[in-house]
Amino acid sequence: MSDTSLTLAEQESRRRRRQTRRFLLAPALLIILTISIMPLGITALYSFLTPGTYGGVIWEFTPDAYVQFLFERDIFDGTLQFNDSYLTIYMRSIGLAFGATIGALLIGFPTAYFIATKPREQRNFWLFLITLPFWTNLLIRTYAMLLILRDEGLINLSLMGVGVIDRPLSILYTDTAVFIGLIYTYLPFMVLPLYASLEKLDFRLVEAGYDLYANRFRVLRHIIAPIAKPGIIAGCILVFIPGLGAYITPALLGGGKKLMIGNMIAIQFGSSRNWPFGSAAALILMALVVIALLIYARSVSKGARAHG
Amino acid sequence: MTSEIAKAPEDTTTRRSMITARDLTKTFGQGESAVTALDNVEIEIRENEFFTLLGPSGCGKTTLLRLIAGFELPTSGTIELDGEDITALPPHVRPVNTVFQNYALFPHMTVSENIGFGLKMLGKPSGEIDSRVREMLSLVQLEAMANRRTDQLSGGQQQRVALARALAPAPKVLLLDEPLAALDLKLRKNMQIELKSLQAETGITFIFVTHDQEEALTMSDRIAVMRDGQILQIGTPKEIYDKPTHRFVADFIGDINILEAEVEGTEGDQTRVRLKDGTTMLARSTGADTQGHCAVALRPESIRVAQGGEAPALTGQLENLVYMGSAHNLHLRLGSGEELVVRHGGSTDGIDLSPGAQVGVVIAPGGARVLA
Repeated sequence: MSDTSLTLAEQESRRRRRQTRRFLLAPALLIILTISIMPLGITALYSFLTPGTYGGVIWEFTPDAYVQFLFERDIFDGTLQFNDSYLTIYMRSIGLAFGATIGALLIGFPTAYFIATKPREQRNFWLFLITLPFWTNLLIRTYAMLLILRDEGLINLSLMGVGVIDRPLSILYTDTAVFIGLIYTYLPFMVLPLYASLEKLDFRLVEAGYDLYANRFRVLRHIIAPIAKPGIIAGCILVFIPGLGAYITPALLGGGKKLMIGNMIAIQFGSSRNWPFGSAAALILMALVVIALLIYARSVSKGARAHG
Repeated sequence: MTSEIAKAPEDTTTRRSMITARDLTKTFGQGESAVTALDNVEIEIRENEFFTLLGPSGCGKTTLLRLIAGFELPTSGTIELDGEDITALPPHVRPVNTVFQNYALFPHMTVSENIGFGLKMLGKPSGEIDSRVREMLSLVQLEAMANRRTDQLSGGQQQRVALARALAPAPKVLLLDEPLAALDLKLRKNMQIELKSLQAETGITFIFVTHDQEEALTMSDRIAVMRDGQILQIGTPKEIYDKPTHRFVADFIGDINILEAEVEGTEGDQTRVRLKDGTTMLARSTGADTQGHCAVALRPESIRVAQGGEAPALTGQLENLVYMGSAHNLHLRLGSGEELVVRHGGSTDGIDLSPGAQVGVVIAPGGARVLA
C-alpha cells in the first residue's frame, strides 16, 4: 500500500467528518443565533432609532439615546448639559453588585469548604439544601425576604425581643435591603462553583502547608485560595453579572426608590416609552461587563505567561 | 491483647533522645466501631538516627508518624521532641517536616517556591530563602528545574523536590511516609542510597515508614517492627534479622523456616526442642516463653546439606530444586509434613539431588532460634 493512497483516503474521510460535524452543529448554532445574537442585534439597532410616542420605535437613525445617557438637552435653547443621574444609578448598581459579590464570597467560601470536607455520601444532601431555593420562584422568595426585613419582620422582632434594640431598624427600602437580597438570591451561584473547585482540592496539600509552618489563615491564603482560584472567579462572575442587572430584588426590597440598572431599563421600556434609550442603557451595561471580563482575561493570561 | 514491647537493645553510640513517645494510644471512631490504630506504644528515637517504622499496612506505622507530625492528636500518651512536650502542639509550630507518600507538592508554585515555602512561612528574609533554596536545589541536583512547575517533573524529580522542601527549614526531625513507594525499582534503589547519605550529610533525625523489609534493612540505623498498633521489636537491622524475638518479626523480615515444636528443657543458653517429626535439636533461647509449645526459626542460609558422613540434624524429601545463581534453594518436605527451605551455597557434587531423594541437612551453630 502506498503512502499517497492512504493520505487520500484519509483526506476524504476527514472531509466527510468535517461535513458531518457542521451538520450536527447546525441546530446548536441556529439556537445561539436566534435566542442570543438576534435579540442583541435588535437591541443594538433600536438603540440608534427614535422613540415612538406610544412606545416602539420610529425608523429614523439618531445617536440621541447615547447622548441622553450623559447629557440633558435644555428644553428652551437645546444646548447639552452634563447630567449624572444615570451615571449615578450605574455607579450604585456596580457598588451594590460588587458588595454583594464580596458578601457572597465571604459566606459562600466557608459553606463550600464545609460541604467539600464532609464525607462523600453526605455532600449531595448539603448540595441539595443549597439548590433548594431554586424550587421556589424568585418573586416569592423576594417577598419572603420582604417579610423578614420589614419593620415588624423576623429580624426586627427578634432583635427587639432579645433587647438589642428598642426601635425597629428600618432596613427595608434601603440599599442594605437590596444588598442583603442580592446576596441571598445569588449565594448558590457562588457556592456551587466554589464547591466544584474545593471538592477537587487535595487536602494533603493542606496538611503539607500546616507541616511547613503555615497557620490556618496562611494555609487558606497561600494554598487553598490559589488552588480554588478558578472557582472563586467563576463564582464572582456568576454573582456580579446577574447582580448588576438584577430587577426583582431592587424593585421589591429597594421599594422603587433605590433604582438599579435593571429597573431603570425596565422603566424606559415601560412608563417612559423610550425604547431606544432602554436599549442603549442595556448595551452600555453589557459593554461594561465585557470590558471588565476582558481586563480580567488579560490579567489571567499575563499571569499564566509569567508562570510558564 | 498481649503487650510484648521489646526493649530497645543498647546502642553503642549513646546519643540523646530526639523523639520520646510514652504510652501512646490512638483510637479512631467511637463505641462499637472504634479502631485502635496505636496501642500503648513506647518508643525512643535518637538524635541523628535513621529510624524505620516497618510493618504491614494497617499496623499503625503511618498513624505514629502522623502523631509525631501533629496531624492527629493521640487519644492518650505523650510525645516529646528534644525534651519538650509537643503532644498538644499544632503541626505548624512543630520543628518537624514530612515527606508525603504522594509528595503533596503545591501545584500552583514553581519548584523553587515549593522548596522556599516553609522558610517563607517562618518569616525568613527573602535573601536567606533564596540562598537556602539554591543550596537545597544543588543538594538534590535539581538546579536546572528551579523555575519549572511541579507537574513538569518526573516522579523521581518530584520526590527530590518533596525532600528538598521538607529539608529546607532544617527540621529537627524529618518524617518520611513511604516516600519511595511510587518509584520504579531502579530509581528506588538509587533513592535508598541517596536518602541514607542525605541523612548522614544533614545530621537530621529521619523517621522512615515502609512496609518493604529490604528497604528497612538497607537504610536504617534502627528498625521498629510493628503489627496491630504495637511495636514488636526494636533493634538494628542485624539484630532484627539475626535475633528476632517474635515469630511475626522473623517471618516478616527475610526468608525463614518456622517449624512447630515442644520445649523439652534448657541447656545453658540453649533450649532443647522436639519437632513434630520426633527429632530433637538445640536452639538458641530468646528469652521468650520457653514452656510447652514453641516455634523454631531457621534461616535458609544457616542450613546446608550434610556431606561426607555428617550426622544430619534434619532429613526431608527433596520436592524442588531452584537454582539461584550463587546458591541452590532446596525445598524439602519433612516427616511432619512441614516444608523446609535450604539455601545450599557450596558445590552440589556427590549429593543426590534427584526429585524425591532423601536429603539430610545440618544447621550452622546458633542458626536455630526458639520463638514463642
